[in-house]
Amino acid sequence: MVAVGLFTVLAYVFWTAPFTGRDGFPRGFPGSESITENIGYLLFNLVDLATIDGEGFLVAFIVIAIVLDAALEGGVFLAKRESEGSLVTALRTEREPRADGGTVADAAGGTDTADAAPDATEETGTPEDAAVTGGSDAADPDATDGGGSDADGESGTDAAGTDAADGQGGDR
Amino acid sequence: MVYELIAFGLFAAITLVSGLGVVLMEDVWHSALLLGVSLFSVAVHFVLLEAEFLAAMQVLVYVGGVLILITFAVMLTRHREAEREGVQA
Amino acid sequence: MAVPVEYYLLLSAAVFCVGLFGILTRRNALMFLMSVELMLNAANINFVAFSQYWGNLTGQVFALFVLALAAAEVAIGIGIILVLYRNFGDVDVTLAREMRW
Repeated sequence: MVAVGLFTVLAYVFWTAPFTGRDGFPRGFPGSESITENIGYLLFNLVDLATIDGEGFLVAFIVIAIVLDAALEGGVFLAKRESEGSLVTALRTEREPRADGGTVADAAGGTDTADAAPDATEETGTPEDAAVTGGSDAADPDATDGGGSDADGESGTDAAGTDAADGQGGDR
Repeated sequence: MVYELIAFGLFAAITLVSGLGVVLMEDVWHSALLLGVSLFSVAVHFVLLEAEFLAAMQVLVYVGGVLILITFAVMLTRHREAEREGVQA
Repeated sequence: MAVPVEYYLLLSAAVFCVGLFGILTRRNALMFLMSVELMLNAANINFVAFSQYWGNLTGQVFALFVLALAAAEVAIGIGIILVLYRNFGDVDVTLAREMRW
């Protein structure tokens, strides 16, 4: 049924398509000009320099640049995810404080460390994780070492986190 | 002139057939590959239309970027699907 | 001189309808993405065909912008599909009916 509706659209488009004007305008570009060069001129509003007809596109260029930037930001935002109390982002991994009063730092040294290592959700843990959270420990006492040092099987104390950061920093 | 027409017909057929293949193929991975074929033949159409720069950009952006992203998504989702089926079985 | 512009119009209309057909019939979100790519390509073929038809570069520059827009759209689409897959365990678009979970 959907396909039938689509074929109506198709037939309609095919039927109307040859109706567009095709009176004897000159076709094609002048062969001696460089099309790429003129595209470059038009992109930056240098219409005077262009030797082929066209209009300036500087504003659209900037708008597209902003849209691409927004796409990048959106990609990072969508890739950010929360798994079992830890926020996994592109450049660092933060652990949130638990509801029962104890911070996750207590548990991280125990069983959670072993659990987190084979967890597939820790795959974005990069060496930067340990470095960033190790540096921000003074500001956020709840933050512990990230996935990078978990994978090493180190204990969850802050000192071990910084040690792991140093070692992995050297590896880089 | 007639050669251009022949080339146009050939690549139009390739575009259409691979586009239909993209839509009708059951396997998503095959669809992605056929999408690559379709995008390439669209780039050939751009060359026929004296838009060589745009053809180069088409190949770079689509085949080099978009298709790789789609391939990533296909592989990620398929991998987890196969994993889950293996757990269930 | 070259291929008549109507042929390009027919080709791009056909490609567009193929893409529309894909969007309407398939349920896989990845197929959605690919079909949207096909439709954008149809639009690009039209732009370039008429750019060459009139000897005016505006169509080509605009097609370039459509290209960039398609790249951004695919980046966001892939992110959304992966989030969808993580939350629903499938890439079926009919599964996600609400904007929250």
